[in-house]
Amino acid sequence: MLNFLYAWGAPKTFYHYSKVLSKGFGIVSILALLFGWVWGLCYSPSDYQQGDSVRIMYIHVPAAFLSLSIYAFMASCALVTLVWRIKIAGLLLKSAALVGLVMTLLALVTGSLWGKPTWGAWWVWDARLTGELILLFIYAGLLALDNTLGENPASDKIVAIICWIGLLDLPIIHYSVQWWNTLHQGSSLLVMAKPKIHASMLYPLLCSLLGMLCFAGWAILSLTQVALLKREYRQQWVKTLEFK
Amino acid sequence: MMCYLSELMHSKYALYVGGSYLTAAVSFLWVFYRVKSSQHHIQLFLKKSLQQPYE
Repeated sequence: MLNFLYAWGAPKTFYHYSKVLSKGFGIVSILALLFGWVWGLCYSPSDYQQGDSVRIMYIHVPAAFLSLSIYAFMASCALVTLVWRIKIAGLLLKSAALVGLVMTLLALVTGSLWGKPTWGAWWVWDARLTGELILLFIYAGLLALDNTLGENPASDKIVAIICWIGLLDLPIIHYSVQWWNTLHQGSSLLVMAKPKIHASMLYPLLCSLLGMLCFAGWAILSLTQVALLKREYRQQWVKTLEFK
Repeated sequence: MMCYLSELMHSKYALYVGGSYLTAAVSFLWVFYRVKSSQHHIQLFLKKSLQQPYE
């Protein structure tokens, strides 16, 4: 495992395989997003209770899922940075923060647009909503901290430590609907359980989720490549690269 | 497969649904722009740094 991390975390190796991977993510994301959104917007039926507002879920659910998943990914990168000191992990963490911020903001805005016609309010101080808002502030704080520290050699470690402190918010968001009596509904889609939604709505949702997941993957890898080139520009392997 | 778009256009949720998809599209385009502009800037920076080998 360690040998794998060190081998694939070498800057030159990472740059080359991430280039291929990001291209793949980019193509899949365009196809899956187009397919998922058109399916969700035009061909999926409306819900008997929520009406057509259920179509917002094809964006809201993947965005909310990604806001948490990206943070969990960042926490893993922080662990690798702090324990094994693999520099790529620190760059991945910082690049993921921007994408995570956008996904969290998207989850909050689409949730609000769904909440107004369904709950009758743009915003309620519900545990899950408040937890998600705190997550947005954590993402923004990490980005601000990274910008403040700049090229400081200790910046990777400091951002990684703060990232781990923010990890406390994740279980609160995830389990809030079980721990407290909240207005926000429970999960309809769980990895280990049978889905509670009909196939006509499940498939466009999964398609949209795949598209947004691949888009996030593409953006994180592309931003990490840029950060890597900026950090390593004096190295020989960067000087031999050819740009179109 | 039945198309529900015309029903959606006339429903009371049209603005909320449209607003959500528009917000998502704008967010993704902004991230795309950020990625592409940073790639463009780093390429210019690397080309410039190669022209100044002693710095």
